[in-house]
Amino acid sequence: MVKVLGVGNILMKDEGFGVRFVERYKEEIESLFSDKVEVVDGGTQTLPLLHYIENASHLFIIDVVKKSRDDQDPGDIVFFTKDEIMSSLKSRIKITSHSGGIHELLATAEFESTIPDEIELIGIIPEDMSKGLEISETLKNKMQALRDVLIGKLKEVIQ
Amino acid sequence: MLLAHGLHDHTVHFYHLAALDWVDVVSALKADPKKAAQIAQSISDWPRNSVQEFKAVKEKIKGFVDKGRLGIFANGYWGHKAMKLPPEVNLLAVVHYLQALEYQRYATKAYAILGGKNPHVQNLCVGGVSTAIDPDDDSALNMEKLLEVKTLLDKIISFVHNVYLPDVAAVGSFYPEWFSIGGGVPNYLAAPDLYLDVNHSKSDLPGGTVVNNDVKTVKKIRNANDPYWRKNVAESIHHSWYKGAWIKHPWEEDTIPEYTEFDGKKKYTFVKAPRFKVGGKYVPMQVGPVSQVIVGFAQNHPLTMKWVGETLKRIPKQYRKPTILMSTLGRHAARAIRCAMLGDIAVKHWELLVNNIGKGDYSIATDFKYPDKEIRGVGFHEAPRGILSHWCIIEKGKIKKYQAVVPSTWNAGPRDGNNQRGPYEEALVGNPIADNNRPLEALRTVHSFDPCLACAIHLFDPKGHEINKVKVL
Repeated sequence: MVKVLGVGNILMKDEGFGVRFVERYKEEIESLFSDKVEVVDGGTQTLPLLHYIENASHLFIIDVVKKSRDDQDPGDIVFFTKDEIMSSLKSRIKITSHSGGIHELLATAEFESTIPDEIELIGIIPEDMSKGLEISETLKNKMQALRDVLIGKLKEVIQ
Repeated sequence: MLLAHGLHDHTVHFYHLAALDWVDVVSALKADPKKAAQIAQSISDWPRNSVQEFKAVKEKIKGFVDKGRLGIFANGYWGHKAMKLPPEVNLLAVVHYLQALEYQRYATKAYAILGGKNPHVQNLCVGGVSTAIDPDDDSALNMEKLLEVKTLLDKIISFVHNVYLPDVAAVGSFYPEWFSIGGGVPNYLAAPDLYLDVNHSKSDLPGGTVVNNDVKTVKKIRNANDPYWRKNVAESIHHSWYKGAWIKHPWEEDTIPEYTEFDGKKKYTFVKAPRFKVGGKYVPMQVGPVSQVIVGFAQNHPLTMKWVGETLKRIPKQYRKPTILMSTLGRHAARAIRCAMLGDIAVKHWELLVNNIGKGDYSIATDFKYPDKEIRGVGFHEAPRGILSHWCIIEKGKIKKYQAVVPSTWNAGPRDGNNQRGPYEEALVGNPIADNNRPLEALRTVHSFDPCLACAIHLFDPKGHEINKVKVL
């Protein structure tokens, strides 16, 4: 099974991009691949997501990604491989029940040996992370492009 | 749904969010798996305490350490002087940490079947839920799904009764001094919950208040309409970054942020300070499992008495008294006690639901018509972190005012206009700190409240920087 996991906090505009993406494309993507793909709204959860991703052959994560180079602009789509994600893990002892997010989810799955073999993070550079339910126009306009990229990748791994 | 959520939340809090304040993962490498398994078998007859399983987990930790990657366990306070468990007990705890990851899935799945979706159930509506019940419909909640829920609940309940509760007692027994540290605010407030009738006259979880650490002061709260509850709640913003300096009832207050610099003498937090009026005076209240258990104990509530007794039996004789609950470790013990209670109640409520369906009762919500005038109301729920209340004024069917007074606000709130400290603050007074650079002991006390502070930012940072830094103090 291939899984797509959109994560984020919808109360903070672009922070909620992953969730908004799932809301818009879940039905379309799942029917396009006749249920070989499951698209999940991960919200701000960590451990309750373990059983959604366990032993998936491929996992695609949709999230906003902090700008890390000068030539990156809001709305740019960026990619990270499993190795890149896992080597960036610098998890700390937990301070709150919700902190940690994706890092913690993957580190826990790794320790449990239920981590998917193939993981890719398809991220987008945010523009506005202030309080609010709507994502910025810049990111809204990029949703379709990200969907196309994802569908291309899904076609590759499913065939 | 509430029960599956509580069973999940308490178990995960102990193993995955707090246990590593007490358990040294790296020390588990020195453990003799055979001896560790024997200790585990001596405290519980849980079938998964075998030498093989203990050996396998030790190998797994070793693999991670050898690769120089501790993953979830990186940056823990390993080797800290305040860590006192023998290697074998550390190994036992890590084995159960992994098993808890597996078992929390069962609670999550039960919750998802009942709520339609998890995370973030979306089946709640005014007056009930929107999950249809129909034994003849595959897409509705039918007998097949209910049986699956029962199987899943049985698994998590068995884990709670045979692993979680015994582990809390076992780990706690190595840290008896923490049964008298971190008590803090001596007042406790809990909501009754899991009602047995539509009028909310009978509930399976007891509610009320106890003040000054004295169970004789107990006063019952029967439901959210109880005037003792409705009239006596207020929030203070004397030390919070909101406009003004007052203490007001939730129906009367407002929430207008006004950030000023951090000033410990003036305003220093966005958290308000909820207070409860007792004997004419507003006082801070601790909320959460410890309050529910103390309030239930004070009322001789049979299910509370049963599990307090079961827990105390597992603690060395010289510490075996209910007052140990009023401490840092006591809050963990109370959470395990409440979780065990939820297990018993879950079985009962599953049977009640199935019996109702058997009688042909498929109702899922009570219809409600808003009157044409201004109305005000309050609803509450004993959430995993404590009493959660929503105060609402509705005018002609539209929300005019909405104030939520949530559990972590009660516990994390600052001082009030009379300079009375909130529960976190008070509990940290006199807390020992062996190493100022690694304040493990302060974390122990704050974690014991099960704080809920950050649904904030979950941005992925490719450089692996610490992004959502939470300042505990």
